[in-house]
Amino acid sequence: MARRSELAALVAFGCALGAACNDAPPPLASALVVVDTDLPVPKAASHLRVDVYGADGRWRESRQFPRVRPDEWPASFGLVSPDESKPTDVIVRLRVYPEGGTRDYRGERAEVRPTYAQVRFPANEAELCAAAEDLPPQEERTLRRGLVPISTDRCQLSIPVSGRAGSVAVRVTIPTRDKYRFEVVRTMPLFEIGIDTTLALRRNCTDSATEIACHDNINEESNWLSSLVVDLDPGTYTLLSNGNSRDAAEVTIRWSKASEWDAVPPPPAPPVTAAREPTPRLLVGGADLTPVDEPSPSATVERFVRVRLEPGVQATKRVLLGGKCLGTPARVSSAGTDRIDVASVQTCIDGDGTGPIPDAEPASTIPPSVVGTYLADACAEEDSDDNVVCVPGGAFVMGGPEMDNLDLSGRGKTLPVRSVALSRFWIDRREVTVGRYRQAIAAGFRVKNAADAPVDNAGPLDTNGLRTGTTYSAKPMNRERYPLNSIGWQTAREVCMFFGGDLQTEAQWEYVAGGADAPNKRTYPWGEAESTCEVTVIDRVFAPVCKGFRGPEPVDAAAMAADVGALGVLGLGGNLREFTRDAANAFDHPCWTAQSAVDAWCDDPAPAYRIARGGSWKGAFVFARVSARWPTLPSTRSTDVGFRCTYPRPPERRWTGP
Amino acid sequence: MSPRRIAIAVGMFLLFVGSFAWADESALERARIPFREGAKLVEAAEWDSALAAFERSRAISEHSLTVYNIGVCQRFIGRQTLARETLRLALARAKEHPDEMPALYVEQAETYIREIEGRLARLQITLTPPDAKIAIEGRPLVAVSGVTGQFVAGIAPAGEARSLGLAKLEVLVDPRPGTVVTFSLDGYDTIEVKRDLKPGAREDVTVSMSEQPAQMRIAANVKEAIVRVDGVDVGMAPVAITRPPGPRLVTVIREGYVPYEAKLTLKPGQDVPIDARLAVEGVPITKKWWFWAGAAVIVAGVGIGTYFLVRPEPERPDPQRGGLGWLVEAN
Repeated sequence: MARRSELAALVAFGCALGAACNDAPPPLASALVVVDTDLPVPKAASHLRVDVYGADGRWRESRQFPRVRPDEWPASFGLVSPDESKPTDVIVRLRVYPEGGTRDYRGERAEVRPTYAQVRFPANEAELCAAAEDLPPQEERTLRRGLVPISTDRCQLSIPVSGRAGSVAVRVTIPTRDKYRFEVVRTMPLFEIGIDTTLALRRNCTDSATEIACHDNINEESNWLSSLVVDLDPGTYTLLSNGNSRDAAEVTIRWSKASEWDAVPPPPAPPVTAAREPTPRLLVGGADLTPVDEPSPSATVERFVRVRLEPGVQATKRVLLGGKCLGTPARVSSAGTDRIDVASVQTCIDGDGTGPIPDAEPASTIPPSVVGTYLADACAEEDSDDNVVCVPGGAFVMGGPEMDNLDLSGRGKTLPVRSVALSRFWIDRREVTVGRYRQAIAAGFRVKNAADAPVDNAGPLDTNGLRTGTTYSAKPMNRERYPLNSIGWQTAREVCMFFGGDLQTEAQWEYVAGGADAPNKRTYPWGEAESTCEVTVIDRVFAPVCKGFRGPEPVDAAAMAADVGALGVLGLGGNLREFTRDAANAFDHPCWTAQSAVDAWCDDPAPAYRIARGGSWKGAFVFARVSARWPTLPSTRSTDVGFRCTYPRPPERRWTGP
Repeated sequence: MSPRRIAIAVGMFLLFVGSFAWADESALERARIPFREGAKLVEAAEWDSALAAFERSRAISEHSLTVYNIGVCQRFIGRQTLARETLRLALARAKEHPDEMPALYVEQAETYIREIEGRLARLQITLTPPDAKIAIEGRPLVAVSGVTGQFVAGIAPAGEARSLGLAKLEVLVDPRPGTVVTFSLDGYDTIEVKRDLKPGAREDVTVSMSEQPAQMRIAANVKEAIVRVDGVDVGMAPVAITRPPGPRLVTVIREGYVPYEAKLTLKPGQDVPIDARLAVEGVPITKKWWFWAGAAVIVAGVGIGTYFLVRPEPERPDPQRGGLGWLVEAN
């Protein structure tokens, strides 16, 4: 450096004497692209994927970099153009995602964000009939059945109204006189778990006196779905299915001539286009270097920017992959074998919705990284007490691969993973107890639906039956410290609302159980130690696997002493599994994908299942895992299901004791 | 296999067992109760609870179909290697007690095993030194009997890693993303290798405990100081860099400051903090006005001409590669 300044001084002197001068050539057009994120690292962001395209959309480069420590951010790389005659535009696609947040590369198909509208059930029989759609023969149609009875049939009349649910209806057009078969072929919940239906045929939908035939159970002992076989004249009829159980459901119906019932309908015509590789492809020097996987949109923050490289200028550009862009993947379409359609790209504009590709922001200095600052509202020590625990805001990844194939209904899948951000909230330190419920009743809480409330167990606790296995008793039986079980979802939610909160969402439960704002997500609420009898009250059904009372224990029992989560939340891993607010759907269902990632939950007024989380005295060890999901009937009053509440601010209504 | 078929398969046990003489009728009767519970739980797709029920039944009275059902439950909860092991045990017992397992279930067990083996991922591990200990997902490996150098992960209970004494081995692993293989050896930092294993994948893992990278944590006393390691820009200080062991040249530069240089030899697993103190560049004597005044007449003529003949070509500034060390050419 000293020598150079000497030479420079000589040059300057020489120039001053009029000698010929020769300055250093200007730099090539280049830019240093500095990428930062405000998501927590590595919990919600641990890899950076960079794709570079030319201005014409041709895919030129792709790399991914593990950035698993906060001190590795911001990350930076360089762009350069050897063209000294004119500016060069480069399109850069940046994606940050967590470990496991990838899927097989599918090509660019300009996927539109789905819409999700909550189902609206007919309010009465007239609306049901007006909305009935035509159902062609052999076609299966799945209909949503609500909770409120709005119609009935002769086969249902023996069932008390309190045991009935809603109705679905379709119109069928009979072409010729023949024997026809109508059947409920499938339901969700699965029929083995207690769903029940009837089926009835009417000439006039709104007139029950025109009922031609009805049917209740295919098999009284093993199949409570319904099947009708009846001779019919040509004409249009209404097929109704009513509910003989208290849960909302999805009912799948089919009909045909009885003689053609087993004729399998022809498969749909295959698509005309032959199977092909997803495009665009990254073709470099004749070789196909296309990555086999890509960041999964449900767990990725993605932004496109345009970088202009000016001859003679070494610029610095800064891009923030911020949590505001979670759940807003870019819309990109392929424009050929090796390129994207740049003009049609819609990308997240730093939380201000989406728009065409913007220019990258220039940066004169590189500020310190903002890793981990998204929604990171902290909690002070005094924000928590014995009733409730303050949970700081933050982002994390829901789901994971290890629990994905547990549930045959498909509603409890834990893949694909989904990134979610949560505002600060408060959560019950313990599962709601009998004592707390009794205090709520004393303070004016009233159960709206007796069929949904805990029964009165005036005797000892014995989990061989629903009544004797219920921890609640109208007169205290020294079980005030036991968690409250045998309660339906709706009443549990109403208890939480009475205290100024709501049932915890799945995201809130998993966030707390996974360690909240700790750097890495826990496997179990208490940490990484395997789920065993020594840690919590779990798997008590089959002694000698776990010794101890075959049922729940008090929330502060010695057997629960080690079941302590981050922030001091107790009993997440065992005792009772806990209702959440969410409907049971896979994380790629529109109820998840259509909404923002902030404070997300799957909102459905009458789903077939709700999700319960956490292990229980009855369940196997594996269900204490943070990612495990239990689709559970909302009306179930199970001796191994309880709940806890969350609040947007510290609740004003308090309780004494656990 | 649909749950309905499994239920039928499970129910058949009760028929078959009832047909044959049994050494301990009371044990069988006691074993039937949890077996029936397991069958009901299978129909409700509560695989874990069903598994526990069948295991309880097995603890009372061993039977090939009970072991088979345990293997099926393990398969459904994703414990593929364990399911494979259990189904093999069921088949082995069925050979010794041919009356216990109808041909239908023997065939089904063999089908499941083939399906699982097709799905298992295989890690080809090359390890130096061979006495390093290995664990996968926190569990030691179990040798496959009759096959030298082949091991299975996911069967042994969670516990301490074990040394296998082999430089090359193959491990059958449940395919899942984020599988962690841990290598440990006294006197060295533990190495963790994480792999995303797809069904049927074969992956090579080569680990040399003596070649663990070292880390340098380089800080500077001035802002926006560029750090170079072996001549390559690695970012602005402070920065943490890993490099293989061996000699390294660390340079920290900032315009207006005297460059900082450090030559060091990194050892395996070493963590080296480097605190670069940059000094403000001094004013060279050649900038003193009186020096040029005195030399002006002598240098102006021949000296300047000579200078322009021999000076090096002026250099174009290098484009920055950033902390990722990556430079993309746009054209």
